[in-house]
Amino acid sequence: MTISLLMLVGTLLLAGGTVHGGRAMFGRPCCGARRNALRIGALVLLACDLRLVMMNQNTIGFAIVLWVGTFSLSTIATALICTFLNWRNAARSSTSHPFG
Amino acid sequence: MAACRDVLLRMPLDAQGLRQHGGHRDAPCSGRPVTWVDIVKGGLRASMAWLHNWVGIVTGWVLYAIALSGALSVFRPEISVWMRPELAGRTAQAVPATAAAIAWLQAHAPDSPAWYLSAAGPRAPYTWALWLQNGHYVQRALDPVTGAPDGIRDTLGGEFFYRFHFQLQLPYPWGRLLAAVAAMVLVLTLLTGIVVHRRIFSDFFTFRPNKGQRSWLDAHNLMGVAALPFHLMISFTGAVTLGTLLFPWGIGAAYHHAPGAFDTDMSPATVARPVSGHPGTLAPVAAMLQMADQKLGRAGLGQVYVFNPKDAASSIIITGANDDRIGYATHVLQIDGTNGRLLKEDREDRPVMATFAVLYGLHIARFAPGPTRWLYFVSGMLLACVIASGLRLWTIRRRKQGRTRGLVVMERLNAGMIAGTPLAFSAYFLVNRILPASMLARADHEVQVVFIVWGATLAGAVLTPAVWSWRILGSATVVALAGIVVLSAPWTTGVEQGTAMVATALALGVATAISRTRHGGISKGRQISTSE
Repeated sequence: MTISLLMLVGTLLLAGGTVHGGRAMFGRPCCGARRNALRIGALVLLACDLRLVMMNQNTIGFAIVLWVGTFSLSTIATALICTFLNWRNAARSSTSHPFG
Repeated sequence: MAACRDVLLRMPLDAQGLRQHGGHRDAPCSGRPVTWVDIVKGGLRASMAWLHNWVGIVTGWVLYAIALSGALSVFRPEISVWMRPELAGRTAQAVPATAAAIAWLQAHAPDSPAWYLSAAGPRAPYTWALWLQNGHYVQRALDPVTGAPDGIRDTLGGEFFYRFHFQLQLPYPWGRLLAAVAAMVLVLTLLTGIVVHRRIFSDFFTFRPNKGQRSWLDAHNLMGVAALPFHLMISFTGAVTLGTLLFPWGIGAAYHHAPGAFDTDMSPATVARPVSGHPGTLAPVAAMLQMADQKLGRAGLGQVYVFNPKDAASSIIITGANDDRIGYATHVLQIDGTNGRLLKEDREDRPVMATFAVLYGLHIARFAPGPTRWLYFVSGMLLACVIASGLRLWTIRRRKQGRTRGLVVMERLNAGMIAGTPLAFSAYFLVNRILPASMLARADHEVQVVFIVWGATLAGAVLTPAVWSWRILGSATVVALAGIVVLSAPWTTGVEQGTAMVATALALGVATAISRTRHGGISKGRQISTSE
């Protein structure tokens, strides 16, 4: 559970560093320094997650297979979260500008 | 020569790839047919887009069925247990269950030249056996205590999906060859897809719903990119697994003098001794199995093959399971059936063979503990969705260029195949519980139902507008999946709960997709229905 949560937070940070993801999470794409910080943070978290998975598995091979699979699922989950955030942002902006 | 090349270069081709994937600046917009010259001028990405589209559409249906059955075969033992409710909640030990099975086969199938057994385990509380009887191979699950098939319904269970995944229910070698070619094509499609997808990183987490074609493309890209490592791994290892069928010439060149020598070199301990021609009897097998179990250590018994059981040169070949490593069948024992003496012990440590064992093991995932198995299943389903969305996208794009008869047939067949395959597979589960348990040739009838339903859905889809086929077949699939949930009652065992959970999730997914189509969501169903 901890491993999955760490992975999800990592992919969310990674998404925050992209143009579409940044717009969904922060309302606008991040600037260069902030984007780099998000990406580095994401990579550190993902690396820590891989380390944790390796410690919990019998072999490195098992750990890598599990980590890659979890990363795929986290990516899909993150994309759906970004889609929801985009939808919410759009709903809010249409409420605040009914004739816009 | 130059004239031939000129003719070849001016063959008419479809412009889609050029227009959709970055070759638009060089693509002709005048309406004249696109030629090879245009493709070449369009650059690498346009060429790859063309290849991605056409290779994908030609093999998409086969790949879809292979991906779907492959995802299901991850849970082969669990499906087999679900389809044999008599075994629900039972447990079995590999050694006594295998000994009981061999004792029963000694009494009831003594003339079979070999008995092929898969040992019982925590996931499968039965021994799966295959033997020759009256000129036909019989496959049955044997009781872990009595060793007899009595009281256990005759069904292939999850074995059907596993076999279908790489044999496509076709005679050898055609099914395997087709699956091997499909695997190679999938590798090619994935690689060309990577080249085509220009914004692979910036659109990594992007899905924009309710935007018609854009939504389909986003869904296709998202599912394809998110599980790309799995997709590449599973397609490449699939092609490698069937590599000897794709490239048989090397074996032919090296072993033309002795065809059997290749198998001996590949796995020395799995080649049985030749028949002596003198009668013999098997020594008590329980002691031999116990000894083998100790030698195999944590892995335990996997496959047990008994060759020439009535001959003085009988041999028992035992392959270790691979719960403790990715590589499959890397530890094999061969035992003299008449006296229990260990004849050969083979631990695979040759680099190339060990690499092959790892690639094969990665593909079949027998090593996988519970969470990894679920990830395999979900990733396999994502692959099926990527293929299905790609097929759908192909027709949506072409519809914009005009509606031709060929496109209408393609749309209808797409609906029949994409929505009909899950329905046919669901019917397999339902018919398992509907047919009488003691029916003769029951397993064959179950499989026949799958193909009858599949054929009927395809025939119906060809005769019905695509938008109606999507709704009718989708609704039928939801009903069938709901039936599986109900038949999984009383939901007390892990298998029943897991099956009900997966069926519920799939039913909700299909129901959502139908409702989105009805309300003009991702697929803009209304626009399609009015134009058709």
